[in-house]
Amino acid sequence: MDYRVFLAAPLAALAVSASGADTLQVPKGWFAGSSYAFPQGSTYEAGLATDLPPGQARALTVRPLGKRTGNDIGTIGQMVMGYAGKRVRFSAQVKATGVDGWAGLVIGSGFIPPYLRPQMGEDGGPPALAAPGCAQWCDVSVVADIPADSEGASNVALALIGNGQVWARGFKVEVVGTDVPVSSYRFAVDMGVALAAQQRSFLQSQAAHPTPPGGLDLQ
Amino acid sequence: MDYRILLIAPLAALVLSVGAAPPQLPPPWQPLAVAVTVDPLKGQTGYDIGIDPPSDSLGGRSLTIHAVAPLADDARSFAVAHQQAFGYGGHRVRFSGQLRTQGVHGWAGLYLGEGQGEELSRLVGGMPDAEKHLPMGSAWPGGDGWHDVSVVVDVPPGALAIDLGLALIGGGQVWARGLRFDAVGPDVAPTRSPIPYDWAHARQAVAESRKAMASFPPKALVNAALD
Repeated sequence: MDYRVFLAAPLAALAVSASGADTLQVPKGWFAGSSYAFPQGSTYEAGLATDLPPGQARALTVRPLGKRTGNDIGTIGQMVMGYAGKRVRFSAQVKATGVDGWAGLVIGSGFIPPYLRPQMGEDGGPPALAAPGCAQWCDVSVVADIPADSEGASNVALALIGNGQVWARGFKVEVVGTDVPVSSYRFAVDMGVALAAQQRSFLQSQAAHPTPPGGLDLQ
Repeated sequence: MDYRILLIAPLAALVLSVGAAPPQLPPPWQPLAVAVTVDPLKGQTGYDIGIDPPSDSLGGRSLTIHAVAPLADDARSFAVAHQQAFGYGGHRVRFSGQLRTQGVHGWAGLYLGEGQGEELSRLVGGMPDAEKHLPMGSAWPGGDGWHDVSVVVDVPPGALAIDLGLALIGGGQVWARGLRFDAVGPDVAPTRSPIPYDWAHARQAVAESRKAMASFPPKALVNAALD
């Protein structure tokens, strides 16, 4: 595993990004994670929605902290095991408002959560697959094949790219037959390309002149 | 789900471990560690990486990596304090310092390699062809006290970044001080020995771990009801 954009702020970014602001309650079993806002800090908050009308079913939500860009991702999701060689459907009811990027459900194979994959290039594994939400509550499902030669892990998440807010409820993960088509939309692929270009540009500027390591005096 | 299970998965263990280093590692140094501990469900990250506190009071600071949890697999357990230098393509460069160790039975030393640390991550993750990009390493030579150590490499023309650091394979503790980095002339011989990380063992272990995990029965979402 390794990492392209962690470059500038390498692996430590993971820890920062995974911490979240935690102003929303994250239910047991769920994990909120977001992409890294340089130099540091949380980019999104995610958890149990507190802004739904009384009487509605409990839902998860993801919303940005401050103004975000199209290269920022906020998520809340889980990793589930035991799906090697299986076709898996992740479904929920989803609602999204004010979204200027993308919002919906995501499923990917492997241990790398969706919010990290665009930063990792090829080492993040194949892109996760995704299905968008709607302006009003609607049923959404996304289907992926988990490779038979993998460890059988699948990451599923509610995700928001950019600004706006997304909610989801009634989550389900299930094995389906081969008669159910695999989703075709690849999550955050454009973002991965943009981040790789940014990284390349950063590296080239850094390498224009010899830049020695810093902090060798350990102060 | 219990995310501690990630500790049995090398790649994910890396994700967890990078966040757990002590905070005293000054920028731009970065920690990177994968520890195969005796009891992964304890959530131990395996290594402390940072400035050794005792050295502060003496006025001379040292960088240290300390295996703090019992290791189940010394050969796969690996930690570095590392950072990058840029723009040295076509140059011969040297990274040097003084090292001392305690209880090291694996390998401890300084290294210089390609990229920005991603090659190390690929190595411990057992990824394909990772062994083709092993960094060059110069080991603590053994004995008591501090010893001078230096590693020298020719940076390929066009290489944008190189990664350098202090590394420990397996258990024990290593300290480094008096660190220096400089471009050197052709009269300084390059280091020819890569760090002796057992990449084949790591790859096999990753494959076995993957196979074992693949046999798990399907798990449902935890707390789908959002209680």
